[in-house]
Amino acid sequence: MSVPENKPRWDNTSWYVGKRVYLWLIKYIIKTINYFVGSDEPGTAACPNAFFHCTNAGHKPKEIPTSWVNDGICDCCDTSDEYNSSSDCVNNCIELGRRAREEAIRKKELLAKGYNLRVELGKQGKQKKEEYKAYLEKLRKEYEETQKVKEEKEEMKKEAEEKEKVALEKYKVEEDDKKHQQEELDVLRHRQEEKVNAENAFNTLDKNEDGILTVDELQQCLKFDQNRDGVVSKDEAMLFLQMKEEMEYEEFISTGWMIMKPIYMMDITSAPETPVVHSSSEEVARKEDHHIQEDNQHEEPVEGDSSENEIYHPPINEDDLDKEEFDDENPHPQVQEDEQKPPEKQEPKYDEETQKIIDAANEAREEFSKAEKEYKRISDEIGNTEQVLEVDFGPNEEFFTLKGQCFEITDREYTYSLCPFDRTSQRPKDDGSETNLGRWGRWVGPEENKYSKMKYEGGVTCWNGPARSVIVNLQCGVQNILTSASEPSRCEYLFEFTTPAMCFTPLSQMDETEHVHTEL
Amino acid sequence: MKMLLLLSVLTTLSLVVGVDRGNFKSCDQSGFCRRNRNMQPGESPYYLLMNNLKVSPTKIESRLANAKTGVLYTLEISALMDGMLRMKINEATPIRQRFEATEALNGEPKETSLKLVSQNSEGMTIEFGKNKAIIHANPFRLDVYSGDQHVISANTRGLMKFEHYRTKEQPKPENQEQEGPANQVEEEKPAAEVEDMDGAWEEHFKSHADSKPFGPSSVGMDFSFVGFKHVYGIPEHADAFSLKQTKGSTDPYRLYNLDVFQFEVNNPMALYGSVPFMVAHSDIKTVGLLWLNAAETWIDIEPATQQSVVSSIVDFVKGSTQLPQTDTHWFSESGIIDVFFLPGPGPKDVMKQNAILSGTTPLPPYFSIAYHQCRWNYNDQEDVRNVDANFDEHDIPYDVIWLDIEHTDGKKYFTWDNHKFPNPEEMINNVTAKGRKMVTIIDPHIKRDSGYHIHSEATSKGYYVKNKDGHDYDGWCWPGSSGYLDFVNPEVRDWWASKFGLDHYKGSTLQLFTWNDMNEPSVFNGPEVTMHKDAKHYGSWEHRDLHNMYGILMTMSTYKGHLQRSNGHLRSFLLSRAFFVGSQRYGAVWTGDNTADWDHLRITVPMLLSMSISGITFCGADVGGFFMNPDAELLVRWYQAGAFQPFFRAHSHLETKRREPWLFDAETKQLIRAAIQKRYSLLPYWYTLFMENEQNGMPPMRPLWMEFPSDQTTFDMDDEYMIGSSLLVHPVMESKATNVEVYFPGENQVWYDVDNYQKFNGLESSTIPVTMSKIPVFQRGGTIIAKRERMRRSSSLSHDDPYTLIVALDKTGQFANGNLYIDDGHTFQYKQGEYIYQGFSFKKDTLTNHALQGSEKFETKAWLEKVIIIGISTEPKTVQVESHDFGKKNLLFTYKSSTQLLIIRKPAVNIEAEWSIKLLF
Repeated sequence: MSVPENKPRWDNTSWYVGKRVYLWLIKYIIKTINYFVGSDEPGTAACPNAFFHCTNAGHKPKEIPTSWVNDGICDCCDTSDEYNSSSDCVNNCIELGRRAREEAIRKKELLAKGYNLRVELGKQGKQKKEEYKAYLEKLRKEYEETQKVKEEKEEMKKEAEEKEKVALEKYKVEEDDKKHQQEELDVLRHRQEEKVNAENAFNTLDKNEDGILTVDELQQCLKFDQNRDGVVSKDEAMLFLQMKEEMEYEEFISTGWMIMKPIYMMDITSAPETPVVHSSSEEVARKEDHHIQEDNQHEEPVEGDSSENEIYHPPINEDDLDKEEFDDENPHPQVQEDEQKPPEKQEPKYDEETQKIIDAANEAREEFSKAEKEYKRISDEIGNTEQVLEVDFGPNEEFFTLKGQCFEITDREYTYSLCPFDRTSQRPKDDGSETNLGRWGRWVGPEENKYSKMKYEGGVTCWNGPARSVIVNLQCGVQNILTSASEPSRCEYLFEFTTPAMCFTPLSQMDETEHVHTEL
Repeated sequence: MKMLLLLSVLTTLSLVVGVDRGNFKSCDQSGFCRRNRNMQPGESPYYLLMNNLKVSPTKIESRLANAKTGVLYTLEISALMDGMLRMKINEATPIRQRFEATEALNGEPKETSLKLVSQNSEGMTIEFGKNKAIIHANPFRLDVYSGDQHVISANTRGLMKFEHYRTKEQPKPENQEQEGPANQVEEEKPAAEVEDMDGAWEEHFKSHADSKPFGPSSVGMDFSFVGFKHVYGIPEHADAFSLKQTKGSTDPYRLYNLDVFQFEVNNPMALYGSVPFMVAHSDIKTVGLLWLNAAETWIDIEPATQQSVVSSIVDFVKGSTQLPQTDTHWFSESGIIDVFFLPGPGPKDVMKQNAILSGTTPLPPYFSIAYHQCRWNYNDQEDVRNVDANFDEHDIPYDVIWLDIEHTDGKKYFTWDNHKFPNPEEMINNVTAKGRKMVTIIDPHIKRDSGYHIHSEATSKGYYVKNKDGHDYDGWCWPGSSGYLDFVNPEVRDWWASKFGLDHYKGSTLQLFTWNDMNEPSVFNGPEVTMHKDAKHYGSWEHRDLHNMYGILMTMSTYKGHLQRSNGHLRSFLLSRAFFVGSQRYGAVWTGDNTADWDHLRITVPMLLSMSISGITFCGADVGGFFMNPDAELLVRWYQAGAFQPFFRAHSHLETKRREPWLFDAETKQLIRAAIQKRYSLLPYWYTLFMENEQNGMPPMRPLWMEFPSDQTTFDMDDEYMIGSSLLVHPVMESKATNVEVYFPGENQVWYDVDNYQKFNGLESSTIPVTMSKIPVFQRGGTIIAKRERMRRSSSLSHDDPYTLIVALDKTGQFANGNLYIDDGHTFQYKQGEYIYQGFSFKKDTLTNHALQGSEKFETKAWLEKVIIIGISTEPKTVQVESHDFGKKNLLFTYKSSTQLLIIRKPAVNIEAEWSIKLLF
């Protein structure tokens, strides 16, 4: 709709005001200084995004939606927005301005401090990154080395085992014989046991002790109620009598028992299973807890012992690294056991020569296993290090130093934990079982301020809901502090975190930006 | 408000969506339902004792007898105001008093004169108002006439049943008598009847026993609506507006206030509220029937069978046998037969008659018809502050923010969680500083915690409902073990009311209002998730007798509390989930825990229409759906529909994702904002409708046939409705819709699309293309609507803002009129005449403003900013405003010939002044 030109805006409002006209005129003059996008129908659909500009002399100027003008609420400290309303607004721009300036100075100082800290963090981060890169370099070299060692050891192992195989060949025949004998014995023993079982069963079932099992007798034994309807039907009973009405002792022992055994031996006391009905909220809670625990089993241990299990330890000095290597003495016990099984079962006594060969082979195997282990460790370490190097730690690596640290905040019920670039979690204050709220995902801030938000995702799935996740809002501050944690939506958490790494504005640029970003 | 967590454990272990029907009784599982439903039409054993007749100026009284048992009953037939008739049947000498639900009525209905026209041994004819009734003595039967037309017959099919109270020792003699009109079919199955009577003395449902100490007590009767194919009403059911046939296909419609977890649409199951009121409508007549009974009630509906058609009457009226007829059969577990016949003859007459009986919604405070923001839960003060600030930040108006159960200290109502809400008053004041309000939830279950003042007082004063053994009833609800206040006791109601006093309810202010949820009552571990029927109330009533009234008695008490806390100065706002006949007198009602899917969006229309025509006019459904997460499209469409429904509140379950508008993409946010803004722009219209509703019972949301009674195309509509008499709404309720098929009712009517002023003719359908921003709304030609086009943060900030008048001319292009009601928006001063009720009319090229119900006591600064005239075929040369204050003045205007639209700018006259705007050609 077109707007007639040369018409005073807002003129329509005052025709009945009478004595307020003078006041209004003054205000109108002030108002015309305002730029005023919109039409003669403020706040209507005709101009949905129009703003009113308050000069707020003495304080910062402000733009408010035109729908806030003359609504009885003092939104501008210079009262210009309520030029024609019954509310008694007081101009408090001077006072507000003074306070705002004081606050701004205070904030500026903090921001400046934060900025300096960020510069320092950037240095540290870059250094760390370099260290990582160097470490990766070193690892890659080691990788080649260990790969070579592994291959050598493998070759040696093969050779030793070849010899061993030949040496053991003659013992093998003997051994096989023994094994065969043993097997036969086992079979005999088993048959004997079965016969006793069959006899016992027959005697139990043969109620009238006439040496013949009948359908009637079987129907008395509830074990045969296969469909669990509470009665043993004739069909169900006959099934065990080769579909006949009766069966004699001999037939039972030879064939009948084999059919009946799996059913008969089953523990009938636990039989009629009823589905468990959960009927109270506690059970839900328990269910949930259980869920959490299950989940935690797949988790790495957290916090306290995390330093030992950290994927990467900053290569501060070589001692640590060495220590780590030696710490790692027995990483895959099962694999080792399996491999060593045949030689360990040294039942047959070997002659001295053979024994030597065997010992040599054992040694070669052990050597190889060590080499392989070291190879694997290095490979893993390379993977982990590469992963860390792939993370975006900010334009100047200023977020790098946050990695490896954890921050906590405790509210009335829970302690929340944020380990940047790693994980987030929550544990109840009273008992310690921890819930994973999500692992490091990605930066999710808006394009122009990418580093203002982190997302952690894939936490423990909520009962009847989504997997838990956390958004972390980052703000500039002189310290790394987790300032708040909340759950605005079910299982969607929100953390607030301050860090100097977010202080992007240097003092020199602050004055320029201050007017635009009046609120920080 | 919310699901039953406990039940949800059972039902959602595998994420089941949908009701667990096993938790609720079918007719087969209810003794009295079987006993009544299985009756076969035939000759009724009940007959009128003509020699006992007592005739007084307003009523006739007599006795009915059951020929099989010899039991005697009192019969009272009285004439009421506005041509209504009441029929009351009770036991003549009961061994136990029978409950009467009279507190649901808006006072004892006034009787008017009744004339006994003729009388003989076979019956009598009476006249009342313009109507008459014929009473047949043996078997007893009542034929009600609206004017000269036979409209309702009672007991024509002989399904009347009145199980008298008896002692248990007595072997069940009534069984043979009542079920057995000498009818061979009946005699062939006595075994089944014996089983039926077993259920009369003790019944089990799932793990619950109903001790039934007083035995069988049900009452039932059949009513035939003669000449009617369509019947409506009897809320609350999630089913079509035009009620379906139940006999032979489904269970009867059930009325038993229940907390149904994840209710399903399109079935006759009971829900949270009950209004046993039915409207029958045809192209020539509209009548109503109120079955005033607060016990569990079932209603069977079927089109008349050959045998049941009241043929002699048909002959009399039309000389044809083609007259349609709908047979209904009503039965309740206890209480009396107390039936009100509302003779119409038109839909508006029935609304008015129902208003006389059960009252109307008192004019709601202005804010309460605006937009409400709710969620289970806004977690703490900070959360409230943020949500409030975000509405400003995103420039979306809203009026009320709600706090669900988590705001309390351990679900102890009237308390606050001190950690989350340490300064409730400060929080409320921050919100109300911008003209907004807050609501807290207050439920009827009271935590059994000796440190809780409400509980300790209730216990020591004996204010709780008792179990069958006389101990305080102990049920499981949100706080765990809970007592249930006995609102049947007037003393308890007064005591409860006092708890809303600002001195009692710490942290509350006069800007804090109330939400009464779970008042069916919901008892998590009770039979059908409610109270045991053998629980005992004040006056030694059984819960069975009055179950459906528990909710209304609670809201009655809360309402009183609201009035008292301001010494009767300020209006109340409260929202209830349970409701009954008359609940409208205490506030708003919503449809309970719906689900975020398209079916549930669609069902809002028939559900709210059913409630609206039954008196529950301030009603709404949770926008967005309570359970599950709506996608952006569904949410937008729901906002668009909700903006055009009486009570407009978004609400969501604890376990859903947050869904405040700004959490969606920019377009979605903008669409939601636009929908809310449309609501705000029409608040003056809604407010006027609510005032008129208080006056005459006409629901703001109404079926098309209420405005166009003879337009048969409208009788089955579930997707289109009217707001007042001027706006037609057809919300988009299909996913990915690109158009909707809109039917425009009314002969010689024209309709205008409110967005683009496109014109449509009555009695025609049109395919209206829709984009995501389109809400198909049409203004009827011949009407004038006052709007406010400026957006404020909240409705109360708009009271001085100017109006825009939308004048939609009728088919002739000559005429339009409309009303506007204005008052202070929040006090009862309007009852002292402090209001403006203006009529606008356009005729002879002149728009004028005149007082309808004049009052000099209220003044407004609001003025007329713009006039839009639609359907004007030629451009005027001059537009001139003339007022008493400043004489004549020419106005700026623009004319668009393509849409025949005239926009007149800034008449700038006060809205209440006398003025005229003249078009000069």
